[in-house]
Amino acid sequence: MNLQEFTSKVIPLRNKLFRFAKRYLEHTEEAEDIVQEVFIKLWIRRDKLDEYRSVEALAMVTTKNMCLDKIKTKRYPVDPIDDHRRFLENLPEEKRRDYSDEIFKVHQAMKSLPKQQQMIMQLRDIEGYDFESIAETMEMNENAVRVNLSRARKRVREIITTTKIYDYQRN
Amino acid sequence: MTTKEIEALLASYYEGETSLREEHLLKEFFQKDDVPAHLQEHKPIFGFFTVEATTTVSPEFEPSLQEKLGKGRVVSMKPTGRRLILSLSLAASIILIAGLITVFKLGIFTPSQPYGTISDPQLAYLEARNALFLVSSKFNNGLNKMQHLEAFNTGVNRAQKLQSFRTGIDELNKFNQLDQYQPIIITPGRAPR
Repeated sequence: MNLQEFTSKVIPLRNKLFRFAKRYLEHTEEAEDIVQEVFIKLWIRRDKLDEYRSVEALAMVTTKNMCLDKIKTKRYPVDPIDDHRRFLENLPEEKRRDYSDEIFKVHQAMKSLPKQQQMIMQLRDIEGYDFESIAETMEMNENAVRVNLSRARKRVREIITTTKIYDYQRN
Repeated sequence: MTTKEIEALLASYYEGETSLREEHLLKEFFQKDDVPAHLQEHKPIFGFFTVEATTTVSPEFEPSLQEKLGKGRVVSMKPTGRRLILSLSLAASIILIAGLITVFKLGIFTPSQPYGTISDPQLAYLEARNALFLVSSKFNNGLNKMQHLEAFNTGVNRAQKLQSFRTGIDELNKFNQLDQYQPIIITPGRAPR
């Protein structure tokens, strides 16, 4: 695979990989660094990439493993952004309008899930992967993916509906 | 899509049983402004998924990556943290070892010329004896000077006589008894306690 092919086939994955890494690390710059390193790793192996059934799956698994390694070292700062106002300040201008109070609550609800459930929800509900790909990336069987996805979805609904009731009572 | 159909889709959505196409329909449905009131609670969930999918890398990402790939500087990852410390300590130990080897090779700690050796045993014996005589005579010389310390001893012996001064002091202690009777002497008529 030459640079031109690499640029047209592999690099377009950058945003997906970035969102995936960011879900793991909860840190924008660290996530970008990881994705760059993933691309460099793939570039070093460029002669062998054609042997893989799917470069995308390889890229996802590589990203996951690098994130897990990063988490293990515990030597990266975590964005401690838990309130809505500071969350918005850290977003680019044009994105701020998208994160209403209600949507921010879903963001927080998702963040409170076990990491594995967060990752499955990310891959399915945000990126739209099929169960087979998710199972491959997360190294689980498809049934376990489905069960965890269902738990994650129900839990998010539960969190946002109970906070709503709480807000109503408080007012 | 009717509200009934949406409700049915939502139910299987939460069980993890919807297809990607059905999930896409749900996202589209909740994008609309006229979501029925009893379904409103699901709106932010699907809204969040749609918004999150638009997050992109920063504009600096691409140039920096292209630079790394294009120049073939593929292993130029900036060492940070533990890796940096590791490489620094590796460098330090190499310098240390190289330094020690050089120092020993140059022979700074070893005498530049060996001491003279004598192959004839007889001569060696005589030389050794001479050397020992020399040491012995010098030693005696020093010892003679020490004789003067005798005088110090006599002085110390004389000082022993001060011991008798102590006996005198003990005798004087008897005067302490006088203190006991002092009150009687000062205020007559009062019995000692």
